[in-house]
Amino acid sequence: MFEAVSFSLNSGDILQVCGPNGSGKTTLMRTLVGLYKNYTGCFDWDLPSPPLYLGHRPGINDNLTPRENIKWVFELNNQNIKAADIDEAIRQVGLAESAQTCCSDLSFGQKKRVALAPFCVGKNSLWIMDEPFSGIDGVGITLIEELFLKRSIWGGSIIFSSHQAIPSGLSVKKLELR
Amino acid sequence: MTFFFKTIAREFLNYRRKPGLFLNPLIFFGLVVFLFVLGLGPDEAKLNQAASIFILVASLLSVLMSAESAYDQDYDEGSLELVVVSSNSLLIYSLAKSLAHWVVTFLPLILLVPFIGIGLFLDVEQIWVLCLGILLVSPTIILLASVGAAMTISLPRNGVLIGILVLPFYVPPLIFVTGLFEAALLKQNVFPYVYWLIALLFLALGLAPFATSACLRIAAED
Repeated sequence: MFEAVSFSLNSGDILQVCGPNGSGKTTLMRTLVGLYKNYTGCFDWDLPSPPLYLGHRPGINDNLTPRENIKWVFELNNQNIKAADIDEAIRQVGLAESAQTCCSDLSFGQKKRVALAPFCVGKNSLWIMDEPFSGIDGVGITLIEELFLKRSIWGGSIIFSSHQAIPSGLSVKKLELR
Repeated sequence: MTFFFKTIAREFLNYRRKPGLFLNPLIFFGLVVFLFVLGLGPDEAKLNQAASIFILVASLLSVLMSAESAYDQDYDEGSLELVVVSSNSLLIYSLAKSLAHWVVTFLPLILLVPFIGIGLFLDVEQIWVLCLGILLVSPTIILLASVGAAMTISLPRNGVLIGILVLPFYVPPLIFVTGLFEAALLKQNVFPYVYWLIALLFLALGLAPFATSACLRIAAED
């Protein structure tokens, strides 16, 4: 597992955590959101709300519709979200026609898009995303890149892990784990 | 508190979309009771004597059957991780899930008991006492099943293991409910048993949610 990792992040920064399989990318993501406690060291940040997190498992309940799943994510974060904002998020991730379909009828990639929808309208100042590009098609990848760009301009910070090369339009810091 | 009610609402929605989650244990309960009755034969005295035991055992087994799915889905889909990350209380979360589980499994069962009681030749007073006994013992059963489900959440096919872990803890409630029913049959004072069942309920309420939330946290942080 990795050791001696140090980085700082300013408002609007995007940090890509990369490294070979087993280097600890997921562990670092889980450590940052408090899902892994067996580490030494510290991280210090002052956030008005918990980071918005996308893990390996997208946290989508198969028995609920995309709309209900998105609403639940905001309820967990104690954020009031308008129905119109949820609809807008669903539209942005390209699932407008499946908004009322149970997620059990959606493909893995579509579920991943549902998991990405809260990122379209959420107000959290930090995003932590573990392999956001996995299972997503080309259009979805472009969507995530656009989200990153908008978020960065808005002043939010993003930490994500990926092997995906990020296009030059985005200014991305890199953290290589070995 | 809002989180508590929102979790309950989500659970009910989940049960509504997948009715098998609560209908299967109910059907199982009906079948077990039916088999017990077939085994005992039409002897009124025998049925009277054994009614509380087999109704309770059937309800225990049906609850254990549904307990398996109480947290599994949230764990597998990653929803549990989101709850932990969101810094909402896992204690509230587990209590809300247990309450929803109680409503969908035991409430219909308690409503069924009077009809089963009539079929077993119980008189009105005995039916009331049996309903009271199940009403008092059912939250304890659910809370203990919830601990078992949370302890085995990350294990595949954990249903049997939940039974092995939890069933020994069902012995005291089982003793007091059968004692309560026997006291009613013999027209004795039922209140000592009622007080014991209430004491067990408060004990379970004071300990089980903490154990459940600790197990859920360990599973999510695994």
